Amino acid sequence: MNCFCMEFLQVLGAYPFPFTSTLWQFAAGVAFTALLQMTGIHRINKDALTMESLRAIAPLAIVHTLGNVLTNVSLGKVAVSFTHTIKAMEPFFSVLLSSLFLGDVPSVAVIATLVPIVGGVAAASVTEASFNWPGFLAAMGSNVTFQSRNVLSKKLIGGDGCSQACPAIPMDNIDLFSIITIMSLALTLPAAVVLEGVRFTPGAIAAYAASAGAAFSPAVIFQKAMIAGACFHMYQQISYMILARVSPVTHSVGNCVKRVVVISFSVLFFKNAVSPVNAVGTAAALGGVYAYTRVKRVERDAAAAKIE
Amino acid sequence: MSPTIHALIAPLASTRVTPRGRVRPSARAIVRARARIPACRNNSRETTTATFNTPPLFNTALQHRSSTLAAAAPAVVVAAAVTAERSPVPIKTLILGVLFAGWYACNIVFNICNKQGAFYTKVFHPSPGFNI
Repeated sequence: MNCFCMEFLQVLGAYPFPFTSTLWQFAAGVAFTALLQMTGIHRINKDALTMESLRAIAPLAIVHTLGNVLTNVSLGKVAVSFTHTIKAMEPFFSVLLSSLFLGDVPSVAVIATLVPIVGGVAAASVTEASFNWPGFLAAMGSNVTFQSRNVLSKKLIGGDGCSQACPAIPMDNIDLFSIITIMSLALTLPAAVVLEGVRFTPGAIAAYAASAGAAFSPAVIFQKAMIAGACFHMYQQISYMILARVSPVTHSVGNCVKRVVVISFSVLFFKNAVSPVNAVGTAAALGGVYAYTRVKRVERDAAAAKIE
Repeated sequence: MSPTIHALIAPLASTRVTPRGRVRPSARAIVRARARIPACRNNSRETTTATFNTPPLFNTALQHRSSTLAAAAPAVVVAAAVTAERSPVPIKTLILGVLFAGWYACNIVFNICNKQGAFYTKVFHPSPGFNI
């Protein structure tokens, strides 16, 4: 999972405010949502805004907020590559939580194909050892929270991998993710102010930049953060569109492939170094993904044949 | 029914063998194709979501929707049904593929934005790779 602000402000040194970073992320997301709403590109379905549906979405906003904060905490504690090595374990968490909340227990064959995927992506993203417990636990915590969010969202939007009856909430995945983002901003704002103080005013940003010895103008930081934040929101929104169409486990496998694609892209275009361990890991992960899709297809065809 | 539409529907009346070797009734393909047409999706968002995402077991709105959609845009429905029937890759898979490509592309663009931010400020970026 990304955290644009953390990444961006890391240029100043270790930016020690994970809640404020998360706040920026959500603010950009809400601005994006407001833009869609005002231009009419996508308006939130008003029928969806009942107390009942908002109560159903509130837990999702809480885990979404926690997941983003924990990722930012982890990135502040350990090297970026280490955080992503831990986050490669997402499919296992997805399997566990899907079986707990959706009653969707995958076959042994499916779980077996997840082993090379998880191991391979972990090996592909590892570049240095920088272990410490807070960083490790925060990354594991973000695995739990993000996969809970996906599985619980799946319960609301239904589809493949949701074998239980889903509550009928008249909203699509764009409505759902927009409302989650707005609620998350409302949750993060007081938490950031209480835990870290007011760090998001132009004066506070300028003071921090000066203390880090860099000549930043708050306007430049704001502009860059909003552009990156809009990309971030779009990328998460598309991930929700995919979640509406596939099971949470398949979604997490897709997220693993995303890590491999981005690593390969950075190797090809930015000439980042690649070690033999990274290369073998990439190959193992892609082999695992191929095996996963084959196993899923065979099982789906077998299930279809049984119904016919 | 116009002769053109009749000509388009006629080949769909029989069953056919899909590229994966399964015999699929054409009527089902038509219903599925209707559910995938963007023009029809705009008619009713909530039932579209149900059609897209809910297993048929829980989908109570499907029949009602199909009939209203068929009335709304028969030519489009039939054309899409023909496309869905003849295409070797199902439309659903194509949409999913486009979404995955968009997902990865957005992530890469976002990472480049961040990198440009770092270059712009002329400060060395300590992160060893992309933030994924």
